[in-house]
Parts: sequence; C-alpha cells; structure tokens
Amino acid sequence: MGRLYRATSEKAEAVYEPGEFERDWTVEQENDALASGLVEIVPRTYKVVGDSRVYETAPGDTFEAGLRIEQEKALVDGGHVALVEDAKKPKAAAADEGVDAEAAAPKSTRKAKGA
Amino acid sequence: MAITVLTNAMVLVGGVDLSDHVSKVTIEDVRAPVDVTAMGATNTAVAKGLGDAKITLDFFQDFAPAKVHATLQPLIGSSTPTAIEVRPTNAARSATNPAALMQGLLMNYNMLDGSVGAASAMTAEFVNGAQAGMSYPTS
Repeated sequence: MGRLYRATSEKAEAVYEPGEFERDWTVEQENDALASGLVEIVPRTYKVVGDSRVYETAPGDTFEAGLRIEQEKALVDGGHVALVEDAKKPKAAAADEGVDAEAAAPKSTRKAKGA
Repeated sequence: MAITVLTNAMVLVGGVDLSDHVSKVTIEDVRAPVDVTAMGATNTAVAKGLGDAKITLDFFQDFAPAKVHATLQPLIGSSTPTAIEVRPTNAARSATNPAALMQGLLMNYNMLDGSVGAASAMTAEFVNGAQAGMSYPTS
C-alpha cells in the first residue's frame, strides 16, 4: 500500500496532482521528491508502544507526524511506535471499505515537533 | 542564566528520547578555515569557509526493545538523515534552554565497546547530513 503525499503549490499540482495523492515510492524516490520541495508527506498518526518518549509523546499516547519511509521503519522496527490504522487513508480507499476516514481519525493526537 | 552543572541533558534521536542512557554529549559546529593570505601580507589571513557539524553521544548500551540498540542499529544502515536534538535540560525549548538540532547521519556505531567488569558503553557519532547544518531553536 502506498503512502499519502500532498503537492505544495500549483506548480507542484501540475507535476503530480491536486490534493492528496498516493504513491508507492522507494526511499530514494521519496527523498528526491521531498528534496524537490514539490511535495510533502501527509502526516500519519502513530501510537507510542515502547517505553521511551517519542516526539515528546509519552508511552501509550498518540502523535501525528509526517515521517519519511526510513524514519517510520526505524521507529516501527525499533519497537517505538505503531501506525494507527485507517487514520489517514485515501478517501477512495476508505470509501471502498465503507469507512469514514475523518471519523476514524484519533481525537487526542498532537503534532510532532521537528518531524 | 547561571553556570550550570550538566545533570539532565535531553537527547532525542529520531524523535526518541534516549536521555536516560546517555552519559556524555558533544556538540560541534565548525567552519573550515580558508587561507586567503595574499602577497604583501605579514601575517596569515584566514576566512571562514564551509560549515560542518557533528554530535557525538556516549551511551550505556541496552538491547531491550525500543532502547539504544533498537534505535541506533537501523540508522547505521540508513542513508536518510535523522533529527538529532540535544537540550541542556529536559524542559521545553526556550531562550535559556536552547536546543542544538541537526539532521544527522550515523557514521560510527560500536555496538559493543568495553572491558570485562565495566559497564557496556559505546559511542555514536552523527555527522551533518543536511544543508541546514546545526541550528539552535528556542521554541
């Protein structure tokens, strides 16, 4: 399954597409796209499952951050965080499954600083 | 602010708070000296060249899930810079508690580095991996 990205300007929308879009990029493709400044990662919601604070979020709490593929993998593989499913699925995918993506989003999330 | 004794520095590696396993932090923000001495000079003239930065952290090793090894080991194989942040204390960023923030690449990771009878400690060295270099945000 791909990840959600968002064009950062009208020019970027011409290169990619308006609004949020899904891509199954590799680490290198994602790094190149982000370095171009044309796209940004749509933040996802994570739950801190380890016993260390992550992005100033206590264990058991959730936070929202636009983590790169490798950053997310490192935190997930390291046992620090787990992705909160369905929080930021593409609307089309959510509709296919009969899930209201907005309603599924966690209520008490905080934005991560420096993510 | 008064002179302080370092007892509670905060160390975030990729957003993970590993402060309780860190025994020493070293933050280096340097500029390369460029020789611009011209004919007629009586002393060497030096200008500041390109910047560079490095954060070196001494850890007590811990192989438990979500601890030191689990956090650092993925970074040595990664070529994507990760945020390294150090603050004088574990309070929020402020003018009197500024952060040193750098997008760093882990270049040295010695999983084990110790002698018999000693605490299992190791050093991780992060070098600057982004054009922003070292910054010192206060908020």
